[in-house]
Amino acid sequence: MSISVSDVLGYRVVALKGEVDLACSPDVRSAVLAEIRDRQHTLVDLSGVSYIDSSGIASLIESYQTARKAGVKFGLTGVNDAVMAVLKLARLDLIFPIHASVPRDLVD
Amino acid sequence: MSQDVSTPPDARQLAALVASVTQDLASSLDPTATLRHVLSSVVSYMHAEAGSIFLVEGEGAAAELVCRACQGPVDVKGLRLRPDAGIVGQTVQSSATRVVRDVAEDPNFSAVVDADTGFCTRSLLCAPLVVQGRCIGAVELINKRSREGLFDAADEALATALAASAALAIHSARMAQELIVQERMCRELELAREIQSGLLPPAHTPGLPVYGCNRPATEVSGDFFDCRLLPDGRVYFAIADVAGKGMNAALLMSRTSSLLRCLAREATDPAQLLADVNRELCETGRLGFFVTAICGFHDPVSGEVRLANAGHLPALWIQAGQPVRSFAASGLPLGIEASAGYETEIFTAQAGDLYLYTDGLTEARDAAGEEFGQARLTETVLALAGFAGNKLVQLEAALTAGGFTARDDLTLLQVEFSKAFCDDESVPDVDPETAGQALLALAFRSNPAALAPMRAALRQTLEGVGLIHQACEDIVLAVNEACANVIRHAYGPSMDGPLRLAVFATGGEVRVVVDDWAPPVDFCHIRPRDLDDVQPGGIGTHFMQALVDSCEYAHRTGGVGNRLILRRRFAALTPAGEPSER
Repeated sequence: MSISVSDVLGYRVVALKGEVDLACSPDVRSAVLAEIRDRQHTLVDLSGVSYIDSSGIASLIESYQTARKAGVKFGLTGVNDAVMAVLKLARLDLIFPIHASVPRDLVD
Repeated sequence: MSQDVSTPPDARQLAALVASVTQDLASSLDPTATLRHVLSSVVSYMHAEAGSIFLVEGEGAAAELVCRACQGPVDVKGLRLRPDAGIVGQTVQSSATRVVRDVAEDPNFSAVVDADTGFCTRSLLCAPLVVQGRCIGAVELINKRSREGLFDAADEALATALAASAALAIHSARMAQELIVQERMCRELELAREIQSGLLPPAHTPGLPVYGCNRPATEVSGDFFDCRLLPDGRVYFAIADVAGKGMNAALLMSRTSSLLRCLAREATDPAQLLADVNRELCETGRLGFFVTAICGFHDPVSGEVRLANAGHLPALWIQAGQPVRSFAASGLPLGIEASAGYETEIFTAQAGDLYLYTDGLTEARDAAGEEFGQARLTETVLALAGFAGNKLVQLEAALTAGGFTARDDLTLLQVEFSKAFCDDESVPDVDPETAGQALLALAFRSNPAALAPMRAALRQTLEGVGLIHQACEDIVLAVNEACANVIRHAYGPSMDGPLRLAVFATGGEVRVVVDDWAPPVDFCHIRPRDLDDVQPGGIGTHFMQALVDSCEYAHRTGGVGNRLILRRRFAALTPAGEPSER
């Protein structure tokens, strides 16, 4: 599992790579929450994620809720089939904003 | 022993004499004493002034005649002659008794000894020592004490007969000596083997994440492995292969192992450690002997591994679902060049195993002469990546099952990186109730780091059963959640409680049994969360129940621990997310 952060079109993009499970979801949680608490519009890029479990999903839920309270945008990009299957299982596919790519809404 | 000098013995007397001499001569099994006794008897029977026994020593071009016993006024013991020199040489080469009745009339007589010693040789009699058709030397007699000091034909017959008895006695004594030497060598070799195996650590030291195995090709081995916990908490490990076999290799092995072990205590850099040992071996070692070696340190707390390789086969870091990393030699074998340098590889490892091995493994051959080889080794250990604990047993079993036999010392070392996996035997690998039927049996510690290797092993097993990809992923996620529950809740803050997993595929269903040894859980309180309330937590249990057909909790027999059985029917294999009616 690796985490990298970059700036794209006004968003902080936190890109995850590898398998997200109990061993690394605390790192994912603190990386994403750090951006949100810094009042950054944040996207989590999941295109490199081959596996995610409930602890990874829980980190995303907490990030989503924290972003709403902080009044910053939060969403997911790069949602592949493996991740989508788990999002659907948690019935979160309709709750999280899911983008095909980083949206241009902040620059237009 | 009173024999009439003037009348030679007849055939009967000769036979009786030979029989008595033979018995007399055969009484000692000490070769030196026997030679002395044989000579003095023959000299006495033959009424000679002096005598000596020459034995053939060395083979082929190096063969020579050496005087091993001597009696008379001049001592030529230790005198070495060419195998064809003089009367003795001729006697040995022809295996026939020679008489030089009067040396003054014989052109073959070598006068060298006389010139040096001043002893006056008048007459010579030389009889071959023949055993089983092979001439092992000759007994030479000089000057008869009577009759003007000259030997005659009767003396020749007697000497020939006595020499035959003498040869037998010498041969027996030599054989006995060889047996004694052989026996002593066997005892010494056995002792060396004991001392040497005492230098090796046990196959596994409780608490140390290292497993070793050493199978010597002969009584003593030129290979070794070592591992020990250093006072600062680091784990030192090493493997080495000494060129050659037998005692010399074993002695060098002992030396190298002691040097490495002694210097490792204070060392932090394996390259420096190898360089120091190399210099010491070069300065004090024998030419033509060298050692290939890998040594390293593993810090189980930080996961940092440092290793260096001196001309040894590459170390392999094997992780489930990850590419194999190979650490090849960075310098010459030890003991060749005093100024040789080595490089340290530094990496962080939280999972998988590091394998070190000697060429006894890769060069093991099957009946067709094919080598086990590097590729087969990698394939075998990759297949074992999901298992916890000592995998060297399985590796050896794979070698045997493939029909491969080691032709050299075989030494293996496995360093287990995952802290999560069991490092002791407190968790039974397989439930005795179900032993032998499980497609996969894993034992590991309740640490999140154990989840990834567990999933990799489980995926591989389920794909082997022939399930479609999504069905595999569903079961993998469900089992992951079951294990994650145990890791998060069952043992409190402890990250090293035992967990055991067994996978079965029978009767149209996949069954996964997860056992823990934690206090009994109140099953009524395990329930999925309400999904309409978007809250983290409780999702795991929902996942588990949504992905399989049944989750059944039970207290294990014996009263300790919990058992969860997940079942998924083949017929009900549907992709994740769809079984919303459940």
